[in-house]
Formats: sequence, C-alpha cells, structure tokens
Amino acid sequence: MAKTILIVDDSSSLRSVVGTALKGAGYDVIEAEDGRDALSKLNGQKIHLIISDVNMPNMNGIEFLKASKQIPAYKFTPVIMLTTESAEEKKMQGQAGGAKAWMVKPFQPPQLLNAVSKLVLP
Amino acid sequence: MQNHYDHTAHGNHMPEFRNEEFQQLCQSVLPLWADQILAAKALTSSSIDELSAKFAGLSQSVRAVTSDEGAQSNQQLLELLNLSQEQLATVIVLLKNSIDEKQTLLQAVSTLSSYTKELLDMADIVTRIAKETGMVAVNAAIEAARVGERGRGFAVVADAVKRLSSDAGRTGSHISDTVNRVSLAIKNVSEVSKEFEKKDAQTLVEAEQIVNTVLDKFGHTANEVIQASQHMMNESQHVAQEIDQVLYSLQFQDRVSQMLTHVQQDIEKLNQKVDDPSGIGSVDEWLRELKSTYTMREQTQIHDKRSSAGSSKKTFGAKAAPPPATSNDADDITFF
Repeated sequence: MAKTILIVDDSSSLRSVVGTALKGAGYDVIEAEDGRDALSKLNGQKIHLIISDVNMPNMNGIEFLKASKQIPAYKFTPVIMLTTESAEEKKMQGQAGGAKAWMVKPFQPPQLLNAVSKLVLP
Repeated sequence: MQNHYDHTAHGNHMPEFRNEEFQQLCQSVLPLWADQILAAKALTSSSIDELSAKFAGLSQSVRAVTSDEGAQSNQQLLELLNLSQEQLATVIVLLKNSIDEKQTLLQAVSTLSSYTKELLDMADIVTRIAKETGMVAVNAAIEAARVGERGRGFAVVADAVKRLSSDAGRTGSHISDTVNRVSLAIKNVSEVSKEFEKKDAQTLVEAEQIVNTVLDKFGHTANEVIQASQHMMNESQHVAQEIDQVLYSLQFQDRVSQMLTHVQQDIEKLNQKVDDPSGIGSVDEWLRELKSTYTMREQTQIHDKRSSAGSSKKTFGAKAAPPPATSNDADDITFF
C-alpha cells in the first residue's frame, strides 16, 4: 500500500510540481494551501510524512509545524520544511519546532525524493 | 525609462517638479505600478498553474508507459525462449527414440527370414520320408498279396502305411508352400522397412531443421524486441531526467511571485508614505526594512549589489540583473 504525504504550500504550481515528483515515486499525495488548511487535513488519517512551505497566508509553516506536534496522532510524523528561506535563524526556528529537515527551493526532485525516503514513516 | 532617469540624473531636460506635483505623481504612479505587478503575478501564476497541472498529467502518463514492466516482459520472453528450446529439443529426442524402436522391431522381423531355409529343408525331408514310406508300403502290399490269405492282415497294415505316407507327403508340400509365402511376406516387410528407415531419417532431419529454423526466427525476433525494449528503457531514463529538470524549472513561478510580492508591498508602503513624508524615516532604515522582507538569496544579493553601487548611480539595467535562476540554492538541505 502506497504511503501518504501531505504537501502544504500556498503556491498551487509548487504543490503540483512536488506532487508530480512524489507520485512518480509511488507515493499518494494530499494537498493543503496553507497551515490552517493543512491542520484540517490532520483528521486521523494515516500520514507518513509532511512537506511544508514556511511563508504562507493564514497560518505560516512554523506555526503549522508547532500546531501539528500538539496533535498526538501526528506528533511523530516527520516534517520537511521546503522553502525559499535559507537564513540560519529561520532554520533554527524549524528545528526548534520539530522539523526533521530544511530544504531550500528550488529543489531537484531526486534530492527531495532522497530526503523523503530517509524520513518517511514505515 | 532608463534614458529618462539617466537624463534626470544628469539634469538634462529635467522637468521641474514641485513637491506637490511630485507627491501627486507618486500617488498616481505608485498604485499603478503595484497593480501592474499584481496583475503580472496573477497572470504568471495562473499560466504556470495550468502548465504544471498539464505537465503533471503528462508526467504520470510517461512514467506509466516507461515502468519496470518492460524489463519484466523481457525476462519473461527470454524464459519462454529457453523453455521452448528445451521442450522442442525433448520432442526431437522422443521422435528419434521412436524411430530407433521401430527399426529394432523391423530388424527383429527381418531375422525371421534366416529360419525359412531351415524350415524348407525340414519340409523336403518330410516329403522325402513320405515318398520312401509309400514305396515301402507298396512293396509290403505286394508281398502280402503273394502270401495269400495269411498275408491279409499285413496287407491292411501296408494300406494304412500307404495312406499315412500320402498324408505326410501332402503335409510336406503344404509346409513348403507356407514357408515360401512367409518368406515372401518377410522379404516384402524388409523392403518396406528399408523405405520407412529412409523416410524416417529424412523426417528426423527435416523436423530438426524446422525446429532450429523456428527457434532461430523466434530468438531473432525476441532479440529485436529486447533491444527495442532496452532502447525504450534508456529513453525513459532520459525522459525521467528531463521531467526532473522541468520540475525544477517550473519552480521559478513561486520564486518570481515572492520577489514581485515584496516589491509590490514596498511600493504600496511608499505610496502610503507619500502623504506624510515626515514619517518616512531615513533611507538606510527603509532599505534595512526592505531587506528584512527578503526570503531568497537572490533578493539579498541584488539588494547588496545595488547598495554597494552607491546612491549616486541610480541606473537601471544589467548591473542589477539577478543571478541565474538555477543558482546554488538547490544544494541546500539540512537534516536536524
């Protein structure tokens, strides 16, 4: 059975690009357009990994990261932050929030898939 | 635009704006710039969204066609070819064994002809003994007649011996006829078996040739299929690499959108300050604040390059050109 990955990004083209790379590698994909939308998708369904942008309207990626860790069912779901932000200060915020990796856009699909395969839940 | 500002910078043909007019100009132009940027961003976004969605579908179709099933089919084809070779070779061996067994049977039948002479000799002996016994019987009858009444009993015996010798003679002739017919039949079977032997040998050679020809053609076709499949697999790998590159390139819209958003927000901020220039603060403060909104290295690099050029060189163009879109950011991944 395919593993499910939640993609959180306010750019639909980015969601489409990430989704294409993941589906090509055999993953199922759920999309959310910001942190608030993503929280509504954490409704008990099994999610093996989350890939989230940082700068988004309504609820940004760091806020969503922290909120997701408060939900027992998703406390240990690994999160990759995928963002244009490359400042160390921002990365430290992600690490403090419980992210497992920080990846700077634009990404090369094989590199993203490599990170996903390392972190995705069994 | 560049010439206009260049002329302005050098004081040639410079329109004499008063503060009030400059304020009005800014109030008119800055919202227009912001709107134009917003429209450009929306246009780019919708087009790229559509393009991304179409490409996603295309990519899935390509990946479905170039899946690992091709390699599995090749393996199955090779296995089928090997199995066919083994089974057809077994059929040839069985055919050969069958022909050999038939030859053994026919040779056994042929050896029967060696007994016919023996049988004929035995039949001649029987015939000869019958003739001699008949002669003895005739002599005995003559001698019995000469004795008269006293030889009557002996005459009866002589007559019986004569009948028996006649019967034995006919049986000897019958055995000879039968042996001759059997001998002729065996001879015919032997001749027919030699014809069969030739035909069987020829059939075996032809069967082997047909099997080898079929296997050769099958193998040749299988090789062509495998080569074509291998070529397709190589092409699919190339396509996969191209897909990755397109996925990388399609991300430009997100980056462009963010850059335009920051510029748009700064123009709107400037527009708000036009009414009240006293609260605008220093240029350095403005620039620092602007820089703090950046999320990408390119933005910071452009900003720093422009700032280091100095305030006296407010030209537009190549000096402020952004770094290539495929800059080093792609190498950045940090695991915590």
